[in-house]
Amino acid sequence: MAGGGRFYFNAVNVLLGVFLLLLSILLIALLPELLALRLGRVVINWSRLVILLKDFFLSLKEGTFFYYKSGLETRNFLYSAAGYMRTSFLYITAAGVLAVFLGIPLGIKATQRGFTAGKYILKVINLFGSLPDFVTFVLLQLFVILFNSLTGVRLARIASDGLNPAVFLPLLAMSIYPLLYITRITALEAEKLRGENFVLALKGRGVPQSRILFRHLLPGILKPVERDLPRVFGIIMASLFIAERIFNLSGITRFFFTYAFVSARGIRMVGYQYNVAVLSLLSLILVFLAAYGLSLSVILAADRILSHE
Amino acid sequence: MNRHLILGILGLAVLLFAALLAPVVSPYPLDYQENIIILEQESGRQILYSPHPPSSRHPFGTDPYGYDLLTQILHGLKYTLAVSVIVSLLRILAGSFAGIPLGVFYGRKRESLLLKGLVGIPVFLFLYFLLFRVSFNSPISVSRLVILEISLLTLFGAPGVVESLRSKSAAVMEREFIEASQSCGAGKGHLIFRHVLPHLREDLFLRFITEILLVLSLLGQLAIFNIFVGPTVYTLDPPLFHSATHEIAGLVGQYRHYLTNSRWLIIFPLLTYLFILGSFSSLSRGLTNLLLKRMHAVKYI
Repeated sequence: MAGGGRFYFNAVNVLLGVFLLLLSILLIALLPELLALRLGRVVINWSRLVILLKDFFLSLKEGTFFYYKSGLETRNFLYSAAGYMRTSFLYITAAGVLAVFLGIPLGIKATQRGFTAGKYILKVINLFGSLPDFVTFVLLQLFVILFNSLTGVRLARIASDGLNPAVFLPLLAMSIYPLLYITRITALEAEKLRGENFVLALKGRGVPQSRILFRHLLPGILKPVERDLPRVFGIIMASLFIAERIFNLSGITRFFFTYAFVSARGIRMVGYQYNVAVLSLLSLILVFLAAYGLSLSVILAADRILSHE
Repeated sequence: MNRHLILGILGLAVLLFAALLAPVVSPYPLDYQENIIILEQESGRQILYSPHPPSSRHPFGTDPYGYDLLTQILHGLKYTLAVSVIVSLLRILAGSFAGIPLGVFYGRKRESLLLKGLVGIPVFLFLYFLLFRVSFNSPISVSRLVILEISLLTLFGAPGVVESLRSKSAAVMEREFIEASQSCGAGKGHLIFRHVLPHLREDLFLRFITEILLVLSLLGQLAIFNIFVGPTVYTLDPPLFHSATHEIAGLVGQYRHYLTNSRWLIIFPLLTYLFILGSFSSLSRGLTNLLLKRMHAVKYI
């Protein structure tokens, strides 16, 4: 009975959370029309917000909520968004997986006893971590171009064009910050675990180092990574906007900026498609949940295999 | 010797000097345009069209319209420094006035799940949303727009600082000397001014510099999406975005496409931006080292 009660309470909590999230997205998507210029002054445009909300509920009633304008054409979000969402999902998941599978060994190696280079590896990592994401991205592009002009060797494509997607550089760029984070937390945990008494006991019993590492330390190291995974994906999501912009990737944030904000006929950015903003932000959350869920399952599976459960 | 602190102070002194004396030390007036250079050489007359690469005439080169890049950078510096310092100062003031009393009176705050979920949306997106209608070819004056931007940058950063200072002052309130002071009859006001504030003084200063770095990063992210400090000058044919103030992060965003041709246009603003970041980071590290040193030098009598 108590279990059933808890389930009921959890379900109510989840529903309330989803409702609040939807409400927040509806409100956040109103922000671009909140301020307006009138007679050379900045004013709060309440009437426009009311119109946007009215139109929104009307479009829900009429079933036109998923339709948006692309130039003179009218398109359906449900048909066109899948490709953009897939692109974002692939880059986010790949960046997350790369960060986890490189960050953990790097963090462990950097703390190995007698491995003096480890200290410097962590220093370099901290140095990169202190640069803003867009600076790192532009620096990477510049490095590839300068390397190409000096040696004639093209290391990677610096941005996607219509036909050829840039893969290596965006992935590297997007995985740098989560990689730094994971390396840091792994190093911290590994440093702590390496000094535990049970490690000394195992070593005294003649258990090989690799076995101590894989069977006894790694499950302990995976725990904080597992706990901080939402944060790791938060970091990736924050840089997704910048990465899709700088590397010209056709992801969901690019869709958002291309179709939600419409420039036409001249001087100022004129149009704003509220439904595109709401749908893009919702899609972004879905992409986040899917990528996070997939990566969490991989880590949980690895944890189970290592713990022989 | 505290190398980081000295380097930080020196770097900032150079930046401040350059920003304040920009009209005097700039090689050209801001509106001086040289899109065609005619050189009389032995081999004959040579006509050069802008953008001009770096030379003795234009040390950082010129932009595609022939405006001197060094002049633009020198004139833009004051906006970068002023906006980042003022916003950070306001955030710290808001944090001190709201966060410290909150921590002293109510203790730590419980984490809200919804807020945690919304933290995933980058701050620059909120700012982009709010500035979208007012930044592009804005008819309002530069100073008024900059004040609006400063207010918004403060508004979206202050809650984080308030929260951090609230939890820090709540942590101070859990120390034994506070209990001792309270049992001697000290009121909350006395505790704030005589115990909590002196304990957080160094933290406040370090947080101030961290906020400067965060603001610089935000300015750059906004610039990547063509929202600059001051108005964004937007032309439709060709569709181009220009920073009216030549603020440094704005220049990086504005010239980020110049990777293969006229590379100096991205390299010099990027180097200046890195120099600013480096100076503040160095100052922050130097101060941390100084504080650590001080904390170890405990005097018992």
